[in-house]
Amino acid sequence: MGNVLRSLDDQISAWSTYGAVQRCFSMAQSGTTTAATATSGYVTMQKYPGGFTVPAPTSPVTGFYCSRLKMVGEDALTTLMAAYATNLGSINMNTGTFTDGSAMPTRTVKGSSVTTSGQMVVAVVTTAVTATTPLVTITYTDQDGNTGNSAAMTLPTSPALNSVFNVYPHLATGDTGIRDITAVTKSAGTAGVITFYGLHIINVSPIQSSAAINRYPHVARGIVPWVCSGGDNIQFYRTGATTTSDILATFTLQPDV
Amino acid sequence: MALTSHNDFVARISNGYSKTDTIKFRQAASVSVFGRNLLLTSFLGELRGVPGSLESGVTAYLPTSLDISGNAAGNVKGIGYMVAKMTDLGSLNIATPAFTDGSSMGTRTEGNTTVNIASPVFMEVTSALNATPGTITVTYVDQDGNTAETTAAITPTASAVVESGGIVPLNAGDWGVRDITTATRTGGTTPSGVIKFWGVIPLDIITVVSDPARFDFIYEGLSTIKLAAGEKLGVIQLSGSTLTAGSWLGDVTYVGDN
Repeated sequence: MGNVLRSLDDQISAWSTYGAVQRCFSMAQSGTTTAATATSGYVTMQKYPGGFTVPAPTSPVTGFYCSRLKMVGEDALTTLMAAYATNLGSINMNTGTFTDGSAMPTRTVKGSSVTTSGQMVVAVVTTAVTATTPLVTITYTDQDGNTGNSAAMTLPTSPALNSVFNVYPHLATGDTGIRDITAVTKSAGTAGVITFYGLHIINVSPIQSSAAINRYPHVARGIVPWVCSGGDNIQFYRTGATTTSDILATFTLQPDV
Repeated sequence: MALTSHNDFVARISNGYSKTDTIKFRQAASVSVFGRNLLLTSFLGELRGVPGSLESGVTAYLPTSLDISGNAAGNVKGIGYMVAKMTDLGSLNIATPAFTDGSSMGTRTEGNTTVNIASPVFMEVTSALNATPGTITVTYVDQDGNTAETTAAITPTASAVVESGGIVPLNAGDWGVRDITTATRTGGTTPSGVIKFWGVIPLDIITVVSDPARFDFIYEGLSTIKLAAGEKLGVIQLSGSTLTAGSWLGDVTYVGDN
């Protein structure tokens, strides 16, 4: 385990000596997305295109902690979310071909390497889909490592690009998470791609008034954040709306030594 | 040796290696936003920069806190100000048209690695545009260093006043640029005016709930950035609604790194 969170001086020393990642990220959701339904995740969500790839550190730095994150959205009464995303796989909604991705990564928790499951797994329309209320069945390895469980979702007809549907409300009874997706099938469709991402959440915050800002000072909140690695992808999401929107985020990733 | 602890910061301040600069901004009432404009932005201005040559015993300046207050509740409350180190990516005189190149975003040491960094591009009208400015395009190297590509046409607001601007809408999948290689203007009728392009390395976004707003970068943000000789901070206003006129006063404090 690194030294970054053992004291404030350790953290100052780490960024002063090895350099912290500091970025402004901004992206537009320029098209309308499709609302979720009771059979497709319940809560309406959309994903901002792209994401930020964490640069690879050099020894003695082994990873990074997100010590500060602020996000700005211009629409009131929605929620913004940032998360480390793992591509668990995708399905071609025309051919029905499942392309496997990765399993959820191991992460250091309380000094030990832990096989994780996603805090949330989402189905994202990464190429606009043409399909009439397609039934999508996901076969997965659950939070305890048991294989062969399945989740079934009936998506809205032809969901638009960057529409997001939460898989977790549809897990098998008793399951709380997904470590890996091993297969996905679909009942209908002639075009499009749906990609499944497992998320380790950095922050979720509501936007009560327009252009409000949420913050994630992890020390003040007493929350130990995930350690991320080079190549990890930070993605940004919005819940509660299907309209176009912009996001602007600034964040700091502290080097873990 | 760089400052590596709170005691180091305190010692430098006690030994006189700190300074406070007054900041003063003004935004005109008629500033407009173009480009990607769902989230409105306007560039308030640059803070007085680090001197061209640093004093003896100082290798860089580290901003540690900022106070800001505005003159009207409507401007100030409930919106955000991004404080960042500004990189001049270049400017476009739309009359000729002629692009004057600036700097690239360059590299930083992050995680003990030299990293090419990228940023969204913020536009600032530095010389007012005329009533028929035409459209502009920006050619850039994206965040991944791919071969330079050109944006779709951007339509500046007719007769946009100084301080107008916005975010450059990049091509699909791109969130930032490493460099702007050129920009040009097409069409218009005797177009005139100048647009500057900025990249940023952010310190943070501060929200103003009531005057004045204070932000302590070290103790709340737990990181800062080093300003070398000649570099400067800027402040960009962010809003989900109309950007209104106003004046802002405040100060920023720095500690000299050794």
